[in-house]
Amino acid sequence: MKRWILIALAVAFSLFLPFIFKDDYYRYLFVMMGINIILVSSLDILVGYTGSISMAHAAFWGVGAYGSALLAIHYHVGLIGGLFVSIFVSMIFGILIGYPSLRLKGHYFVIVTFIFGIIIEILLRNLVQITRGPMGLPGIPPARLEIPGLLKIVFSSTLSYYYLVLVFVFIILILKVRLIHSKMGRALISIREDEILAESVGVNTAFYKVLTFAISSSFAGIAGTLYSHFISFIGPETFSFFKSFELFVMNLVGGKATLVGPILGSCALILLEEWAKIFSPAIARVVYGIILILFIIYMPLGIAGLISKLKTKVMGKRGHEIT
Amino acid sequence: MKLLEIIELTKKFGGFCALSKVSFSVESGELLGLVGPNGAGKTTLFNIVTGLYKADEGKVFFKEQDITGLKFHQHGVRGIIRTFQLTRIFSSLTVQENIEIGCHLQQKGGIKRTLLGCSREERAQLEENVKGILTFTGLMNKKKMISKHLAFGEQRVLELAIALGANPILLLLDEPVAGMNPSETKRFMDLVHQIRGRETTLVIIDHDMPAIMNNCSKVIVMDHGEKIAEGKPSEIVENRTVIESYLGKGYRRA
Repeated sequence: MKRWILIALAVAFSLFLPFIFKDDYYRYLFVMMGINIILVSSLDILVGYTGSISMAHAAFWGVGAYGSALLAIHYHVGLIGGLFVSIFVSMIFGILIGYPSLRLKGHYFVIVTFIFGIIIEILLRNLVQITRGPMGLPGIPPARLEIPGLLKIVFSSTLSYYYLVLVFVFIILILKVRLIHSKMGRALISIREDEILAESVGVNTAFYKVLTFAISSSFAGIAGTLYSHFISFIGPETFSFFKSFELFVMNLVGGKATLVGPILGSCALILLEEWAKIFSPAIARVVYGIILILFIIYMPLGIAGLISKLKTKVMGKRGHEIT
Repeated sequence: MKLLEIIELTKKFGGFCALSKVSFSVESGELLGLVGPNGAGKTTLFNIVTGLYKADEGKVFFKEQDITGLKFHQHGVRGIIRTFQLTRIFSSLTVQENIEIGCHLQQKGGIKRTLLGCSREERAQLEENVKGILTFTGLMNKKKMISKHLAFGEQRVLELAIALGANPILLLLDEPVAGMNPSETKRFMDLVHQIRGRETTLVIIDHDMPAIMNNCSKVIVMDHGEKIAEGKPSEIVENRTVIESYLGKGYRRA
């Protein structure tokens, strides 16, 4: 019951947020937070629940972004068509990287995902005929939702885009909760905890690992479509390894294997990055870095971990939940 | 009926011959003890029978079907479940969650169930199964505990409980009572007897001779990768080769 009240409050808050902060700059930040929440939540399914650390998440995001951006520019494909394509393309790339995960363990796998991310970035940079290389893709039209004869919405203002992204954030979060509490979710957790024991009771770990990569990367693809239509210009440097790393840090700071962790992590880091800009650019990065290090040392379980720890202290409750 | 039949199994690690032409069979409903000095190849045998390792030569039949070369998890699907020499549990999850994962094969998946959640009956069925296992193993009052905080003996019982979730037809236990005190051992062996009563066939590796000799219906002794004796416990304790290589001259049946 208390849980539902909290959820209702959070939903209401997110609905009214752009009217509390009416400045377009803040609304822009909120949209970016939403896109990052989708990215980090989908990464969390891999990193937090399945325990396979992927450093290629920004690459899946980029593939999705480029896919739907190219379609929108050249063929005037709307939002729904763009989403289908980005989901499909990102999923293919997810399976491509998921497959080696069956043979490689631990650090070796992280290195492979890392290299995979770099390869994608190099491709985006060098396939000049398609992606225009380092010049990037300008002039991506705003997202257009069209059902012939029924409705036609063009999400051109930041406010309307905020609600579009919010809908997708809710969809992804609901899907994530459902997934984690299903048979598959328990299988994923068992892979993280002890892969050999999981297999010994009949969990087909190979199947679930590849499937998780497919799901996680297709969610990143959705974020890619949303991003490209919003920002209207995309270039390869956005989807570099640094972004993958940043997403990983967001997950870590927010709290792994939780629902709220990725939400808190993405919001906190985006705000932190903005606030750090008060300092001169050279110092800003250093301040940002130092705060991150402090976070990781003093909150190994992230913000979500801190909250549940405080709750335990206040209520004196034992045990924990794997939500 | 022969539930499990092993024919001339051979496994080499480099030049070291861990198993050489080991053959035996396990009858349905049996409680088989597998003993022998450390390094005799007992665990290697388990690893091959469950598909964790591939055999160099030889075949394994389960229910008269050739299962040599199947993948590890496929053995679980067929009902061959094992525990491990070094305790393996899902250590950061609660006892209940551990057993829920153990029941993986009993649960139904699919896109519809994942998106909409499984039906009330299926949920109730799973809870019922988990509850049954918790009561059976005596872990009921610890179900909310994080499993790494359990005492050692309880962790081993939990490992058994996870295995039971998979509805084993053949249950392979690798040194389940090692490190337990006599009363814990007795409790564990009582559980084993009850599991046998549920038409599950068991194979146990252990060094606890009284536990093996008093409980098993048949004992196989291994040494240096070879089977050196097979028979009823009373025959084994009289066997000259076994006394020389493993039991020692002073062994008397406890």
